[in-house]
Amino acid sequence: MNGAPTDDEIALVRLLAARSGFSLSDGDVHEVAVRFISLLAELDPLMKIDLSGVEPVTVFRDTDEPRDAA
Amino acid sequence: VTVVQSDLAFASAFDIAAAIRARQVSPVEIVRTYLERIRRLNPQLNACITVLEDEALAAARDAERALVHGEPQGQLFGVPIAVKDQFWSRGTRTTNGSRALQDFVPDEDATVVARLKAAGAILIAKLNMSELALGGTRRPPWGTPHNPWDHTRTPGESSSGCGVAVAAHLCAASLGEDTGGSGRWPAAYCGIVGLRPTYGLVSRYGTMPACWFLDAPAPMTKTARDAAVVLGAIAGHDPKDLLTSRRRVPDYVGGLSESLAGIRVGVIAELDESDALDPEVRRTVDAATAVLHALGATVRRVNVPLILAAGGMLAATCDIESAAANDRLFRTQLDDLDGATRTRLLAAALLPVAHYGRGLRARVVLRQQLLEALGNVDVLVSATSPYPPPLHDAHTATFTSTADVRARFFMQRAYLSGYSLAALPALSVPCGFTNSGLPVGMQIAGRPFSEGALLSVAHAYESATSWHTRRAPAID
Repeated sequence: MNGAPTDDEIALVRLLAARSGFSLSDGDVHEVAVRFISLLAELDPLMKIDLSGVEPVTVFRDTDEPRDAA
Repeated sequence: VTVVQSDLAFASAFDIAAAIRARQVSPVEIVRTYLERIRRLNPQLNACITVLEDEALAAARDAERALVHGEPQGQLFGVPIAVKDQFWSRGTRTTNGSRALQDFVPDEDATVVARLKAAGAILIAKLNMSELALGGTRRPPWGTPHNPWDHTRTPGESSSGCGVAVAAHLCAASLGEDTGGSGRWPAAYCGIVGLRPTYGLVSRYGTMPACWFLDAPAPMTKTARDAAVVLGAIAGHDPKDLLTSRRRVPDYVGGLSESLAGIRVGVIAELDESDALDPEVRRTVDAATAVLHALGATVRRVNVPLILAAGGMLAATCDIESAAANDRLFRTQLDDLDGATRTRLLAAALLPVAHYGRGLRARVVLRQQLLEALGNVDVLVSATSPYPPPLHDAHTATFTSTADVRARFFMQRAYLSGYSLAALPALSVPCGFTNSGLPVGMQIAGRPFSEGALLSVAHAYESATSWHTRRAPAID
């Protein structure tokens, strides 16, 4: 999908925003929908790789850091 | 070191510090030089949000008294430095680039600001930036920062003011911040050096968060040696940021070398062969890689299969964290936020949580791939940005299609964000110009805490080339 969002996608974005408690203006909804479906498309390849044995990490431990330093 | 008076503003921070130590220039003289340039050029460039004229002059007079009394001097003694308005500065408003925060005045300095002052630096200005350290801000409250090389073009984001101020010589050096590439990107577009340190090497305390597990204060400077000086001043453990490393901070300046004998350079094939890479940028970076080879490095191609997915990973993790970090603004001052900020963070806030988890997991695999590549080479090299600075209007236009978002948002970040996500250090060094005179940056990245090696490669490259000495038009 390379074009503009469909009416259904815009309606979905409106619904998600409303359920999440965000105010979404008519002026913003189209661009939010474009960004949202683009992000889902960009993440699609990640849905296809095997991540089953991988733990999510936010901060990587410095394994070489001296443990006894002040 | 002898600094010619007429060229004082254009000297490196390292040379200015040396000239002050040698009593060739006084701190008041150099501060006045930059304040005069800010008064004359900032109205055209919009690099600064707040100019600290009185405070800087008072600090310069204090510095002169200290010189007279022979008091100990830090590496940046008397050197005027400007910082991104994302860093707390005691008693001075800190806006994070947002109208919604225009009245916020911190009651203490960020650790990095305090450390720059402790090293003797004089804080001369708080610099313009993209709202909330994101990007694409359409109507910056303190004016649109213009690229000194072509005022109709973006200077890159989000540390836009840092890129502009250093390239236009409005300060001796600056401190930006790099979450997903926000320091390296404007460095490349403005023809200066930008260094993203290893996550945890530099304290985040007092840095207004974009994404707490990616944010990294980033020296943005005229030369690699200046970046080494600034990094040396700000790096090291901080009890106020428990995620900072306790490693000893090396002597980055003393470790610089002009030879690359024995250095192994890896060119990331996926980035070099991408259709997104502008042919002129590719040729320029290829020529720069040839210079590294001529300096003694061996060059080979390496693969990092997930690197082109880095933009998506960044949005799925960083943007969600940023939406969470700014939740109060979101719910109470949404209309005060720029349209680009609103739509970007709202899109991220609606993403199913499973995608966030997948983004975090994929990030681990990306790091493994980068470290595997770095098992066979010392540094990785690519273009910093796949294309030269675009026109302002093209850069900030409303996104209308997924193809547009992919080209203008995700592919830009594919080149920058992989190292952020992997918590690895990376820098951008000027490596040439397009035919139309726009700067191109070469990105050099390495293993965790290998900043010394990256700076040394960049310094050797600068020693063999003169791109970093070119001056943007109409800034004399």
